[in-house]
Amino acid sequence: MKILYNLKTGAVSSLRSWKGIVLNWLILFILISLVSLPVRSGFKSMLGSSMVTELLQDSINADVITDLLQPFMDMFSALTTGFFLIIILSFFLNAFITGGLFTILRDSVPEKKASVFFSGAAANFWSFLVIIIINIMIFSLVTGIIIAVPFVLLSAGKSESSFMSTGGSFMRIAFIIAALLIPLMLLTTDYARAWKADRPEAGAFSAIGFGFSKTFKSFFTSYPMMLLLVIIQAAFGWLTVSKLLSAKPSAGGALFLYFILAQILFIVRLWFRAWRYGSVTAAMQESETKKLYPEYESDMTFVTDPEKNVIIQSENHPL
Amino acid sequence: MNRIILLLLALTFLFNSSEGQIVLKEALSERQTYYKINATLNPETKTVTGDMEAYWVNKSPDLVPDIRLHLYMNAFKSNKTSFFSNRMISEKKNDFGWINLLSFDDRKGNDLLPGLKYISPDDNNPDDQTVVSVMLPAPAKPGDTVFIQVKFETKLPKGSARTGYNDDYFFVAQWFPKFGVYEPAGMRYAVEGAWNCHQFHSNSEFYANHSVYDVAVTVPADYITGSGGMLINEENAPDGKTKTLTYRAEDIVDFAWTTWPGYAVYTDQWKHVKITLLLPHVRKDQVERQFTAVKNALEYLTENVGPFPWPHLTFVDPPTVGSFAGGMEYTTLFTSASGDKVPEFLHVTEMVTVHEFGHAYFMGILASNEFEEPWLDEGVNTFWEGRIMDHYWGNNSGLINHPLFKMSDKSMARISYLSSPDRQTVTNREFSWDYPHDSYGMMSYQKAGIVLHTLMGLIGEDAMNEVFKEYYRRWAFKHPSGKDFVAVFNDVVPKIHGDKFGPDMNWFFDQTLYGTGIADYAVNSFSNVKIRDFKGIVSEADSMKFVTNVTKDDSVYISKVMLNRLGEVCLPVDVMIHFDNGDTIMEYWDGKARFMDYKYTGTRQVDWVKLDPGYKLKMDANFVNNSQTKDPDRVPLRRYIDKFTIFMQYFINIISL
Ligand SMILES: [Zn+2]
Repeated sequence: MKILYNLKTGAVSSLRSWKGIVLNWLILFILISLVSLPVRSGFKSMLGSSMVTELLQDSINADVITDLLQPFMDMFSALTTGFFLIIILSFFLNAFITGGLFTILRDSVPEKKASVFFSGAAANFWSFLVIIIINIMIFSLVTGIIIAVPFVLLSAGKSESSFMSTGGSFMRIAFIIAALLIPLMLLTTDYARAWKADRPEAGAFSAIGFGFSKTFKSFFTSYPMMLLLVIIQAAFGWLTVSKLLSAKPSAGGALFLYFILAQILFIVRLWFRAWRYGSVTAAMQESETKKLYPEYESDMTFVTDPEKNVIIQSENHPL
Repeated sequence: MNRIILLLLALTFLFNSSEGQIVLKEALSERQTYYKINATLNPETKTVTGDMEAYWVNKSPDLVPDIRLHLYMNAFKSNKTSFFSNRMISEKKNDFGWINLLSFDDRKGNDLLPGLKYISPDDNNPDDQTVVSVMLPAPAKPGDTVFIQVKFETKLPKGSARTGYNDDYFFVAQWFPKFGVYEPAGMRYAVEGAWNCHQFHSNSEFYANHSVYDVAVTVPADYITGSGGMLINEENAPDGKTKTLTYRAEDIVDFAWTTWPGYAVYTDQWKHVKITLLLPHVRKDQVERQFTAVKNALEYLTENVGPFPWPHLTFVDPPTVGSFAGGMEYTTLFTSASGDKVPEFLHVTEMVTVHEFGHAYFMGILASNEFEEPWLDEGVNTFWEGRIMDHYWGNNSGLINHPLFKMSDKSMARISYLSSPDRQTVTNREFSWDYPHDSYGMMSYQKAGIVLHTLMGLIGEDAMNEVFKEYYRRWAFKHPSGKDFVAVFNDVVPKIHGDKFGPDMNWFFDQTLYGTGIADYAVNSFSNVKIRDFKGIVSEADSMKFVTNVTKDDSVYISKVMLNRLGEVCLPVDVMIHFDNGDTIMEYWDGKARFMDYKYTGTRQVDWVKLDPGYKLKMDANFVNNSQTKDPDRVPLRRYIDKFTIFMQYFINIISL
């Protein structure tokens, strides 16, 4: 029941935060356009007024790639740097946007205003970046160990035929365990971020600590909730991506509709994620003793006392 | 005395068995050579000891003073052999291999070892012992049979260049002393009779007479064995530790075998051919794919080239430990190559199976000299591989059939040829080990394959099949050369096409296979210019007058289509011109000049122009410039960009938690 309540609260608050979600989409879209538009005009000039595009109707065509190999490689090498920069930039931007989302998803923010979103985004930016990076590192390490250790153990001193028959199923189990870690990683990260969003004064590492302790303390309610969310998200993502990537709209109008549909689906996908944030925020809030916090003001800076974990001072306006 | 009688008895037996038919209804080749070998594998020392009785018949009009044999296994004897120095092959990971001749007698029991000499006809390398010349006590007269009896010991190298061992896996190839080919004057390129017996190079395979092989191999009792022969007998040793398998093969050019305790054995039947597949147990879900591939190849080549005469065929998908043995051909035995998991959309395993089976025709039946003209089996076989793959697995998806990316087998060959920096470095007249810049593979496989696809684009598929059927009729179980191959085109193509392509096809082969030029035809541009009614100053007697013609209101255009030949290679090319009123004109340009302009006058305007509209001239180095249109279709490009955006959105979304 608790799970359902949290999911419902998360759904409602995330729907009410729709502006933040649309903003998230817009920023990401512009970012990707920084690569996709040059690629598009590059290909346009490579192909000129040729009709060879008929070979591209069915799928990417190796013959056309061969013939465009040199200009393609030139363009590609120029754009790979841009590509990586965009990945990094999107990481930063995501830390910023989630900072805003986690802020406005809270109960204590009944009005999901843009100003609140941005001040939360700015206040949480660094800590969120640290939380994401540290958690990704921790879980990559654990996953690496889970997969690598049985692999090394199995491949050492065993002949190929026996390794492949018994080793195959061992590896499969290792991969399943690694997959089951994904909800854990998301839970710890989301709890840390939700908690941090609620405590502007707290440090990133205390938030990470809270994320882990909360995850394990409330494991039996949190994990199933997250597993459910992950499964729904993954199923939705897999279904839409596989359908979208294999679709072949061949006329201009159909292609336009296809593009619109794809973007709507992606916004839905972003909403799913906000729903996850909202549900985790709800799960965190219901067990936490509610504290009253002032609305953020953009000119406020908080100084934290790690011992007491409470706001003791604001530079401009003493509390 | 007794010894001679015994030998004569042995000889009589030998002749009876070599001449007799066990596998095939009748002899398909001249059977100039014969081998009977008893071999025993010692899995501990990785050696094969053999007892060989063999003969070579002098079918030439010459007195031949010596015989020459390949001792391929000596290629692995040191790091100074021609095999290791040809290409930067690391000899470090190899355990060396060699073949020792323990005794070498003639039919009378004369010891021939004193007259034995290692020679290096290709590069005079004193450290190479892969060819041996053995002086005969008396020169072999025309019609003589030179009988030899050899005891040898072969130490297998650790898996290297398709032969050797790894752990308990054995692929035993190039393992026994094997006759070279004596070529009398007039055969292939020979101007006088001589042995054609090349050393073992890293980029060369084989050239041999078609032979009968009676081979008995003794292996540990729990090993599973396959070979290019038909299993005649299997017998366990009284102690139960070993077993002896007796094989017979007829009219094949080489005999190899493999043995490994881990093989699973499957059989299938295609018409008269019993097919046996050996592969590791973990790949049992690929059995169906493998059989489908080999049966497709059997069907296609039988239909379009000629019959596969043998009732048996064994193929092997070596396990990962034996991957060194993958992708090799011994006519009635060949090896595929695969992994333990191969996704359905990827047809690489099928491709290797089809390719290696194809060598049963191009090298096996049509036994060209792969040392000297590697393209004649690899290139021709690559051409057929492409046809088979794209015929059965989809014209656009013979190699890869994924919703996002499809690739035909032909495109794979085209990309390898056209993207190679050496596509214009050398012609296909080189001996296999002489190709510079490591261009052997690209030149003899892909370029030659693409040349033949281009030729088929010109003369048509039916004519191509007719040519190959005639090639088979003329040269099956003989030794065709490149010029014999071209001669078949020269005879067959004019019969089908008259003088459309000229009296012969030499012009094609000289430019492409034996040339270094590239082919590239391009649409330069096209234009539609309205013919204006007269308007201007007219001089009359002693005055000038402004005249304008207002009576006509027709829009008449002069349309001009301008084409270029950018490459050196001249090929006839179809030109398709489409007008805005729906008319389509097909022009035929002989492609010889550097440019070609077409002019049309009428009320219609040119909409688009396409050179080689079916993309049949696969040699053409750039398909993009083959066409121009007023209204290019940008939809596919936009679609890929949209998909790229979608992919990036989800990708960033997932990695950023
Ligand atoms: Zn080959």
